[in-house]
Formats: sequence, structure tokens, C-alpha cells
Amino acid sequence: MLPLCFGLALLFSAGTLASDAAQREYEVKAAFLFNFAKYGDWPAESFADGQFRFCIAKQDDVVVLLRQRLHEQRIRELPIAVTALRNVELASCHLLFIAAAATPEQLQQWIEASRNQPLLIIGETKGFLELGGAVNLFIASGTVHFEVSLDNLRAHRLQLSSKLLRHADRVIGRSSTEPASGSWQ
Amino acid sequence: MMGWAGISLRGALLRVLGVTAVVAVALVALTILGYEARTFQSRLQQEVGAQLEVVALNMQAALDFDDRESALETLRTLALDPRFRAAIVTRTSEQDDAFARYVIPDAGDFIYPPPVNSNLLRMEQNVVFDDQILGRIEAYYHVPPLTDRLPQYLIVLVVVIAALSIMAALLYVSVERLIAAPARRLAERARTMAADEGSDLPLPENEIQQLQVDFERMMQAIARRENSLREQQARMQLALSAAQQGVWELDPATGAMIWDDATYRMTGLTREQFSPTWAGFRHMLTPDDAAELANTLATLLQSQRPELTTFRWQHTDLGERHLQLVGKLFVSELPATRIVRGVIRDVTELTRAEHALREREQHFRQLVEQSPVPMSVTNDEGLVLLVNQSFQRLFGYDLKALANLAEWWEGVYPDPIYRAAVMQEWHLRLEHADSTGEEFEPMEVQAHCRDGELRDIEFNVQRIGNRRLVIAIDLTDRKRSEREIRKLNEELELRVRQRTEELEIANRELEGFSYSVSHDLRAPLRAISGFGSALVQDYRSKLDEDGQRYLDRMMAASQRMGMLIDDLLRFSRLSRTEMIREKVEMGALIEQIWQELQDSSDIDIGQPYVGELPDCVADRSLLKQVLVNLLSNAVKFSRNANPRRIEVFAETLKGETVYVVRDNGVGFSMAYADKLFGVFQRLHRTEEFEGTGVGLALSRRIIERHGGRIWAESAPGKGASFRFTLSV
Repeated sequence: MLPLCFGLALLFSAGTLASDAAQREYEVKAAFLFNFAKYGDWPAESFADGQFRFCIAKQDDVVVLLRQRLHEQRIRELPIAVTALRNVELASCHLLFIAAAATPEQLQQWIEASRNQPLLIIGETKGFLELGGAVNLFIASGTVHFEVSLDNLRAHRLQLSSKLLRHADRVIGRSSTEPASGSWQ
Repeated sequence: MMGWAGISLRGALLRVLGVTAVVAVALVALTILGYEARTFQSRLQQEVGAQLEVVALNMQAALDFDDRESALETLRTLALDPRFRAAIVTRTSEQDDAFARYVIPDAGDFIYPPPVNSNLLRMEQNVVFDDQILGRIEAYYHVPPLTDRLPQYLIVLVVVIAALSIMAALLYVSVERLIAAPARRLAERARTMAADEGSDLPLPENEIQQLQVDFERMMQAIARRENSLREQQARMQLALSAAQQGVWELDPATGAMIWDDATYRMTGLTREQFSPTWAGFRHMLTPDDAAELANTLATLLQSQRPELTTFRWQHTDLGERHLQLVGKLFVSELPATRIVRGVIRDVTELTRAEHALREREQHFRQLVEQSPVPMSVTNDEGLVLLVNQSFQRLFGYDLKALANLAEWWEGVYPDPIYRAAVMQEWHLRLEHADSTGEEFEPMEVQAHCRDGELRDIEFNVQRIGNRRLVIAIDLTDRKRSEREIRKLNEELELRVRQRTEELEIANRELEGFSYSVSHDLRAPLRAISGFGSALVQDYRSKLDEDGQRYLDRMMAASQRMGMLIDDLLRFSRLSRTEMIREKVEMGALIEQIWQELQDSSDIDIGQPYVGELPDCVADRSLLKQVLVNLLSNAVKFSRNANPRRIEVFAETLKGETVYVVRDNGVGFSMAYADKLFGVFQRLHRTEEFEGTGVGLALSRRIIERHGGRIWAESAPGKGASFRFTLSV
């Protein structure tokens, strides 16, 4: 168990969510999304359109938060675009956050549609990894924790830095280069 | 001289080394301490910096994901270093609060932030991800004070001083050997070089100053030598240009050459046309000459002696020339170089002259070889170079047999005594001819030819340069003829002498006989003429006309006989009388005779024409008889001439004085000229011209006794000239 502090939320000054607690939760999650993008490794050919695109499904507050947070920031020297999923083709996304409001059918459909595409799919639903997601965020003891599926990452031709994996609560599946381990401490 | 100046170089060196060693040790000690003090921290920083960098890497995700527990875990790894005391991580966004903090358990008194003068080293390390500073790690390490390490350094210092002392001692020894000793030697050598530049001045004690003084002297010496060198060089150049020589240089290692202007002139090349290299130069020669040139170079590089070679050269303007290259290897030690230097000269004329000389020599040789006169050629060393065919024919020795001269002498002069004499004389004459430059006096010897025949040889020697041409003339035949002629002559002379003696005896007998005859005839003649006169006086009137005529004719005949007898007596007496020679004045004598002739004559005989008459030495009375004869003849035979002309004069004929008596009388035919001077020989009848016919015979006798000659020239009716000489 890692204690996560909502101090991260200080990075994000604006808030439009209904409740303060929910706003702070999404501020931390937005910071997590950016960090996953930082520590992830995409195939070089996936950036043919010259930008890194965050796609957010079913949670427009996160879109606003990320846009504020990532203004003028770059990932791999590329400009960053943040959009709601409904406004773009799934194929142009590099990172997809599926909020809890998505139905299991929608979830299933997006995962199926993005098979073999280098897309980091992050969710916040229980059993998300088993449904085909790569990273799942969850709340425990009042802080945000995450778990990772290496098999699903590999299916999308992606890797996450071991520095990041060290902080995951749970890592399942086998890494392509490292021996399998149930958990990182 | 103060301070250092007065000290010898050795002392100075000793001091320098001592001070240097002390200073060096002090500096080294300080340096080591300073270095240690300085580097201890920096070394620590380096070591610890690496650890902190690793920790910072592991701290990135912890800061990003706000994982304090993981951060503490990571910091704890720093405690593996025994010097580590504490570490604090702060976030960039929360500088006042520590994100994580770790202090080792046995450093309980650690206060953050620690005081400045504590023995703690503070290290900082930023945590950076993607150029963004996420946070900062501060770590504190314990640094023991310098005093704790001093004993360690002191031991090192002592060791260093000991090592330095040893090195200083070694250095002194080597410096003394490497610098002071060579400096002394250098000074001595410089002094030797400048031996004549005020060497009597006192020398300072310090070797460097000595060296200075000596160098100044040496500089003067060098300046002087340089001057003389420059003069020499100028003379050399003059000599070279006068000798029409070019100078060149060759680097045998690279083949590069340097030519001077004279060399270019001589080869007809220009600097633009040809930049000289050995290979390029050789390439321009004929293959034979090029090979020869390469050989010469090889020899030259080994021998270090001057070598020369001559080669043909196609000169662009002058056609084929003969050039001669002389070179020598110059090796210098410092810097180690090997340079061939030399001269080049045009020997075309020389070569052609040599060629011509060889040709002439060939001609000479041919001349000698084919000469019918036996000849041989020897050189100054006495070696026989050439023997011609005539020589071989004459002596039977060829060149092979003559190679050994001793054999020649022994073979030709087998008698040792004669041989020694000939050899001595031979060498004497050769030396005389050589030393005086006169001709070799021909030497006659008797030589044994190879076939054993003994021959008379005359040897002549002609010097031709450094050789001698020996000419042998075979005198054997000439000698033989000479001997025969001499023998014949001797026989002839003997016979002539015998005959002369016989003749003289006969002559004397004849003279005696004619004298006694003449003398004995006088008495009966006197009786005849005496009784005849008596008969004429006493009985003439008693005789008839015929008888008287007979008597007159008898008397005339007896008178004439008396005159003949007188003449004969005079003639025969002439060879018995003694001659008295004296100086005779010809002119005066002629005048006296003419007067006498005039006196005894019935008619006027006029005056003769008398020319220039030199005086002479003769028997006066005998000469007077001759002149009386000649002049009275002239008067007698010119009595019918009108006008009569008689000349007496002298002329010079082949250096001899000839006296001439000429008349314009009846003359005579030259057919009878040989009878003119015989006794009783007459060309005219007594009826025409009186005379006994003894006069001219007598004259001839007298002239002959004086050693002279007498002769006559005439033609009938053209007068006559009588000429005589008198030997002095």
C-alpha cells in the first residue's frame, strides 16, 4: 500500500466538479494520466501526425483539467492534444481514459476497436484489467492507487518504465523482457 | 668578483642543487598536504555524487506518484556508505517541507540544518525528469578532520625527503659529469682554438667565465679564420671559373642535386628546363655512360676518395661534348649527413687532343714499326715498349726476349769486361744527354746477334717525351769497305812513295847528267868558238863568198849553242839553289825590270800599263827571273803590234791573288798550250822570234818551287795572257 497525498492537486488550480472531494480525486487522476504518458513507451511510427493525443471518455471535467495542466507541456518533444473521445477517431488516440460512467458494453466496444493499436487504455472500474485494460486506477485508504496488466500493454505494443511499475499496487501478466512477478514492492 | 661570480662552477652547482632540493621538498610537502586536503573532499564528492545520482533516478517516480514510503526506502540505501549521516528530499513545489527524511540511527545528535563548522559534508542532487526539476536531495557525510591524517603524511614526507636527497646526490654527480666537466673541456678546446688570441691573460676561477673569455678569444679567431676562408672561397671561385668548372652537390639518400650556374652552362640546360636529380641526370646519358656513372658513385660512396668519370653529352648548342665529373663524399657527424660534392668540367678539347695524340702516336708507332732502320722504344724505367721488325731482323731479339733487359745485355755483349764498359759508357752518355739537353753522342759497339754473328752497330738515342727512341745502324758492311779502302790507299801511297823516290833519284841523276853534260860541252864549244873567231879574223878574206857564208853560219850556231848551254846550266842549277823568301814590292820590281829591258834594247819599247799589284813573299831573284822572262816575251812577241800594249796587274780568283802579264802580240794556238812550258819547246821559228825555249820552262820551275801555278791563254793574233800565283 502506498499512501498517496492529494497534494498533487495543488498543480491544478481550477476546478469545475460538483464536489470538492470528487474534484480533488480527478485532479490527482489527471496528474497520474500525464505521468503514465511520461513513463510509457510508444512505437515511433504511432506519432505520424506529429502530436500526442489524450482521449477522455465519459468525463469532460478531466478534459478541462488536463488542458489546463498540460498547457505548453510536451511529451517526447511533441505538442499535446486533449479531446473528448466522442469528437475524434479512436485510431488517432495515444492514451484513452475511460471514466467510470462508461457502460461495460461501451468499454468492451472500445477495447475491441483498438486491438493492435498502440493505445494506452486507462480505466477506473473494478475488473478493468480483466476486461482488456492496461492500467486501472482505484481509491484505497483515501488515496489513488493503480494496477497494471503487462499482457494487455504488450497486446497494444506498449511498455511502461520499471520506475513506474515499482509504485503499482498490483502488476499482472508477464513482461516481455523481465521474469514474471506478482507484485512490486 | 662578488657572490656567485667568484665561485667555481662546481661549487655553484652544489649550492643550486642544495637549495633546489630543500625548496622542492618543502613545496612537495605543501603540495601533498594541499592536494590531500583539497582532493579528500572532491574525491568524497565524486564517490558520493555517483550514489546520489542513482538515488535521484530512483526518486523520480516516487516524487511523481507522491510515494513517500518508496522515497524513504530509496534514501535508506545511502546508509551503505559508512560516512553517510543523513539525507532529506524536498519537492520543488514544497521547498519548506521535507518530502522524506532519513537519519542513520547512531547519529542521533543530527540537527537539520547542521551548523556550518561541523565535520559534515553537504551534498546536493536534483531529481530531474524530462528536463523538469522534480525535487532535490540533500545528503550529509562525515569528513574526518585533517589532523587525523597528519601522521600518515609525515611518514610520506620523510620518505620523500630521503628519496630527494638521494636524487640530489645522484643529480650532482651526473651534473658534474654532464655539464661542468664538458664545460671545462669546452673551455680548453676553445682556448686551443684561440691559441694565438692573447692566451697570456689571467683566467677567472669560474668555469663559465673562463668559457666566456675563451669564447671571446675563439670568436676573434673564428672571425679571422672566416675572413681567410672567405678569401679562400673567393680565390677558389676565381680558380673554378678560370678553370671553367661547375660545382654540384648530391644527396645520395634522396638523389636530389644542386647545380651551380657554371654546371648549367656546361650542360646547356636551364633551370626552367631541368631541376637536377641524380636519376634525371643519368637518364640523359647513354646507357653505357649511365652505368659507368652509377659504378663511379658506388665506388665513391664506399671509398671516400675522389672519383672521376668522363661521359659523352649532347649539348643543345655545341653538339657532342665530353664532360668529366669529379666527386667526393663528405660525411659530417653532426648532423649526420652524407653529401657528395664535386666539380664538372668540359674536357672535349682535352679528349679530342688525347685522341689526336693517340692517333699521332699510332702513326709514330707505325713509322717506327715499318722503318727499314732498326729501332726500339724504351721508357725511363728502362722497359722496352716497342721493337720494330728491322731491329728483330738485325739482332734476332723480339719484344718478348727483350722484356728482360739483363738478358739483352748478356746476350749482346757476352764478354763481361766489354759488357761492363759498354754499359757504363751507355749510361754515362744517356745521363749527359739528359742533363745537358744535348744530343746523345752516337755510340759504336760490337754486338753479338742472336745467331752468334758479331756486328758493328752504331746506337743513337733520341729522347721523345718520357720515352727514348733507340736507333741501331748496322755499320758492319761500311766498316768492312772502309777497311778495304784504307788498305788499298795504304798500298797506293806506298807505291806512289816508291815511285816518287825512284823519280827523284832519276831526276837528280838527270840533273846531274845535264849539268855535267852542259858543263863538259862548254870546253869544246869554247874551242870551236875561239878557233872560229881566229879563222874569221885571219882567214876570212882568203875565203870566197860561199866559204865566208859558211863560216858566219858556223859562228852563229856556236854562239847559239853557248846560250843554250848557259840556259841549261841555269835550269839545272835552279833545283839546287836555296830559296830565300822575303817581302817583295811587286810594283817597284816591275819598274826596275822594265828599265833594264829598255836599256838592253836597241829600240824604244815604250811604257807598260801597270795596275794594282799587291806585295808578296818570295825569293826576289828567282821571281825577277820569272818576270823578266814574261815581260821580255811580251815585248818580243808584240813588236809588230801597233800600238804595242803590255799590261801587268793582279786579280783575285777564289781568294787567291793572281798576277797577270798581258800583251797584244801574235799570240798562239791553245792547241799547243801544253807544250809552252816544256824545256826547249818553241812555238815560233828562231828566224821569227829569237829565244832558246828554256825561259818558260824555267819560269814554271820557279813558280812551282814557290808552291804556285802558272798558265797561259791565247789565240793566234789575239795576244797572250800569262797568269801565275804564289802560295803564301
